[in-house]
Amino acid sequence: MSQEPSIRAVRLSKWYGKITALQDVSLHLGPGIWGLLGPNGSGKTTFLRLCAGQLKPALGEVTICGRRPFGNPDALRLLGLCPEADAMYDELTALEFVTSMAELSGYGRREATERAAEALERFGLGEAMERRIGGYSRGMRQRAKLAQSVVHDPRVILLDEPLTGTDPASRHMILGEIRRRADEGAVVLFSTHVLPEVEAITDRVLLIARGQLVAQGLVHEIRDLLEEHPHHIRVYTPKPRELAAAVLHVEGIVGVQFAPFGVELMTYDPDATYDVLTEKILELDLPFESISSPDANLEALFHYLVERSTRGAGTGADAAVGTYRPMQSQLEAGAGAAPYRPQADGPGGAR
Amino acid sequence: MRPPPPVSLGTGAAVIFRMQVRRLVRSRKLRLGVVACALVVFAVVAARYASLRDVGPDRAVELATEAIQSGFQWGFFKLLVFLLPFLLTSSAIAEEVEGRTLTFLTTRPVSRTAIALGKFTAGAAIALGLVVSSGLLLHFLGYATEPTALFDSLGATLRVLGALTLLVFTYCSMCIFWGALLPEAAGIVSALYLAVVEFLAAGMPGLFRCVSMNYLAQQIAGFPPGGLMPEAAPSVPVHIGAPVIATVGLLFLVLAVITVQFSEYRFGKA
Repeated sequence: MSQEPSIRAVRLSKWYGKITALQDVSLHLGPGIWGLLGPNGSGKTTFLRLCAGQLKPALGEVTICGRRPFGNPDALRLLGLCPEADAMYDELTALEFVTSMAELSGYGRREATERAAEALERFGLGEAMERRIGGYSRGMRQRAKLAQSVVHDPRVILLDEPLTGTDPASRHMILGEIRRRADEGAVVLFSTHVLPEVEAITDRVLLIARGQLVAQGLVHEIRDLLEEHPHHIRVYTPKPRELAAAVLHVEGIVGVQFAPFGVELMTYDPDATYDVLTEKILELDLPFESISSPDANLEALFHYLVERSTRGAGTGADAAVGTYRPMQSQLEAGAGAAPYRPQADGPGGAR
Repeated sequence: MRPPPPVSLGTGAAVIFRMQVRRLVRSRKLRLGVVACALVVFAVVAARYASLRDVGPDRAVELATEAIQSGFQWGFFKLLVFLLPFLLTSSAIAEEVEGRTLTFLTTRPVSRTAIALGKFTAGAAIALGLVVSSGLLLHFLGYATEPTALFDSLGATLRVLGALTLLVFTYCSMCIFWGALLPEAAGIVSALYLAVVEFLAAGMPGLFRCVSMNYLAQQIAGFPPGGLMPEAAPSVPVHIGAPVIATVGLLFLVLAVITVQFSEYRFGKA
């Protein structure tokens, strides 16, 4: 049994009735911080809950430091989970709650109390720890949840949207604590759908969409992808043809689509296109209602990657650009009948 | 640093027990239970002393015994013994599933058996404490003016309390089982089961009433059978009734533990 902190999934799938929540995910994460990025409903929480032993895989397997987590105390003692839901024991004080969690992790009453107080202090709840959680703000509740997830010094820390409801000062404190844990050798899997949250703490990310792991890589590569992905701009105007004719020659615009609301432009240079659009509208005195962008976010990128991976015969082979590595195809050979052989990628790297 | 070893079943159950007791003590459910017990005791004691006005002192003890026995039969066997386990255990697992707090417990290196047992024990202990303390209070207040009967009738009251103890244990097991099996409908399913199988069946004719643990417990307590065709109701001796109730309670508890042990509890959302 491996003692190195790690999360490993091999062809992991999970479905609820006819709904596929996670499909054929294979990965191996070593120590360090990993961002798990994906739009809402993409399967992030399901993946984390499978890792945390809350759900049983429908197919494949997931292991924490070499152990299957579902109903396995030997694996559960190595991991800490900060769930997404804003659910807490409102009747208890934060100190009582975190102390109980430490006791359930195997510490005696006195040590559990000391650890709980220390963890709460680290997350800035030192003065409020004797107050009932029911009277906490959203951010304080979030910090209490985080304190319980690390009170027992877990080797694998699973954080599901950990910055929800927190103010900038709290974020700074939380991110600092997460970094410290990672520096001490823990695997931290940080789930979010907000790219800047991940950027603030790590440059290594996994992209998950529609239950599939579509790619993994560095944050700046995602930024590049966002720039390479044609940007859609919608112009709500009663005279779409005139507008389209006026801007079609602009460098960067690669497509024009007419719609009931007006016209949708596809461009690789959104800034220049916005400038030209404004100029032309004023110059030609074209009537228009509004200009909007339906995809100035990660969700569009995920759809783009999924569509491209589908076109790549399901291998995900062209799901990424540049040095981006589609995980599924990387692990395909090792995840099937043949024994899994991690491909060394430097210390703490994904394999 | 090596993590500590996984906690034992007993330690895990004890921690969950403490957590659950704290939560119950600070909850409205316990206050509601206390109010219900106080109302029952007050009503029976008031009725017992009101009845004294129409009779002479020679019948006072007889009337006091009658009032207290009726109080136990109607206030305890037909009300409190249903209400308290329902309030304190039917939602013990269910509210954690629905409220999504069960995640905190199931990601700890503690067996799910300990979670179920800790929660059951906390609810059952508080329910039992309320029933027994209310029963003793009723006894002492009911016989307060009759010192001889206060001690002579203590045996009968303890017998009633013994039967109630078995019943509270069994009903708590039933409630926690239904709550663990169907967390989204814990209250309604537990209430229906107790109402139909335990309350209504206790008044059915003939052997039908033996499916109700409530009827068996009333037999242990020494109460005459009521309901439909009481003359056809079977008489159940203590040495049969008590083990049957305890076994049924244990069976439901085991089922509850198995349910918690193997359920995924998806919290209704993917």
